[in-house]
Amino acid sequence: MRAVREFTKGFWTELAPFRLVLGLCPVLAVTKSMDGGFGMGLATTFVLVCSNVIVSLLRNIIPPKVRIASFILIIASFVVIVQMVMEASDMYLLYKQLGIFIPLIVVNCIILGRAEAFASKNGIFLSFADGLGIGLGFTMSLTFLGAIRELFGSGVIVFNWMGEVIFTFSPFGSAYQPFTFMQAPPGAFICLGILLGLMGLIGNRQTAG
Amino acid sequence: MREIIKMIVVLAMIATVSGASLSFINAKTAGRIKEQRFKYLKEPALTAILPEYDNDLVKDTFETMIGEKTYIVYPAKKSGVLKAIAFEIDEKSYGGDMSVMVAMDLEEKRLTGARVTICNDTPGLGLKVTTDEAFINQFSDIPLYDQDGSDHILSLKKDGGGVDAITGATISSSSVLRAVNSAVGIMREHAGEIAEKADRAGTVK
Repeated sequence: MRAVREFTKGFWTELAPFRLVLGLCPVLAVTKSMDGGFGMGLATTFVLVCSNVIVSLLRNIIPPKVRIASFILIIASFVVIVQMVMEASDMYLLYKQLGIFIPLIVVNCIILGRAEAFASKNGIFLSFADGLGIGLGFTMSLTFLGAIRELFGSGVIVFNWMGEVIFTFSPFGSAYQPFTFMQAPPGAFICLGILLGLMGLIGNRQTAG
Repeated sequence: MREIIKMIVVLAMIATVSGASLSFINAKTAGRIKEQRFKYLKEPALTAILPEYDNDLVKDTFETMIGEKTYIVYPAKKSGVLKAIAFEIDEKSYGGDMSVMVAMDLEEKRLTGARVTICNDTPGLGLKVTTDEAFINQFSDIPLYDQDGSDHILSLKKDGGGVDAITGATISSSSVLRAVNSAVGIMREHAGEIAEKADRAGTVK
C-alpha cells in the first residue's frame, strides 16, 4: 500500500521538524504552550493538505517556469482562509495567541517543499495522504515540544481549546519553582537541540541495529 | 510565444479563483470578525471601567479626529443620557506599542478607570500591568482636575507621585500613566466636542 506508506512516513522517517529540520520558525516561536503548538500544527496541516491536493490537481496545467509563483499563490490563499475562519470562530483566542505566525504559514518551507517535491509529481490521493501524514507529524512535534516547554517553564500544563480548559496537568505540585527560561526564546533552541540530539541517537541505533 | 501566453493565462486563472474565493469568505466572515474583536479585546475592558450603561456600545461608537490622530470613542449612556465616555490611547512601551482604554465620568469629572488592552511586555513581569488589580485600581475614581483647576497629573512614587509601579515593570507602568495623563489632557481640550458627538451618536444612522 503506497498511500499508507506515504501517510506514515510523516510520523517518523520524514518527521518534518526533527528529522528533516524543516519549518523551524513556528516550531521555535509558538511552542510556549501545548495548546499553542497543537493549534499551530492543525492550522498548518489544513493548509498543507489543501495546497497538496490543489497543486496535485493542477500539476499538468501549471507551466514549469511559473510553478513556484503558482504554488505560493495557492498556499497564500489557504493561509488567508485559515486566518479569517479562525478569527471569526471560537478559536479567536488561539488566533490572538499565535499572532503573526498564522500569516507566516505562507513561508513555512514544509508546505512549499511538499508541493514542489511531492504534490507536483504525484496523484491527488497520494498527495492527500502525504500532506495529512506530514501535517499530523508536524502537529505531534509541536504539541510535544510545547508540552515540555510549558511543563518545565510554568510547572503546569493548561490545555485550552475553543475557550474551554480541556485538561490541566501538574505533576510537580505547588513547591515547584518554574524554570521560566524554557518558555523564553533561548529555551526553545535548547529544548529543540536536546530533542534533535535524542532523535539522532535513536535514529543511529535503529540503522546500526 | 505560446508558452508565455500559457503562463499568463494559468497564473491569471489561479489568481482569479483564489481572489474570488477569498473575497467570498471575507464577505461571510467580516461581520463576525468585527464582533469578535470587540467582544474579546474591548468589551472586557469597557465593562470593567465604565459606570453602568444600557446602550449598545458597538452601535453608538464613533470616531473623532484630535490633532493628527483618530480616536475611537465609546459613549456610555443610561436611559439616553450621556454618563461617561471611554477611548483608547496608544503609547510606546516596553516591547512595542501599548494601548490603554481610559474611561471618564463627564458629570463628576472623574476618572472611572483604565485598563491596558494591548501590551507586549514580558509575561509574568511587565504583562502584570494588564491584570494586577492593586495596580489597575489606582486609576479608578480619581478626580480629573486638581483643586486649582489644573490637570491632575499622575506620577509614580519614585517620581514623587502617588502611584505604585509594578515591581520590575517601571517602563510599562509609567507608559500607562502617560496614557492616562494624555487622556485627561485630551478631555480638557475637547470635552465639549466629544460630548456633542456622543449625544448624537446612535441617533443618526
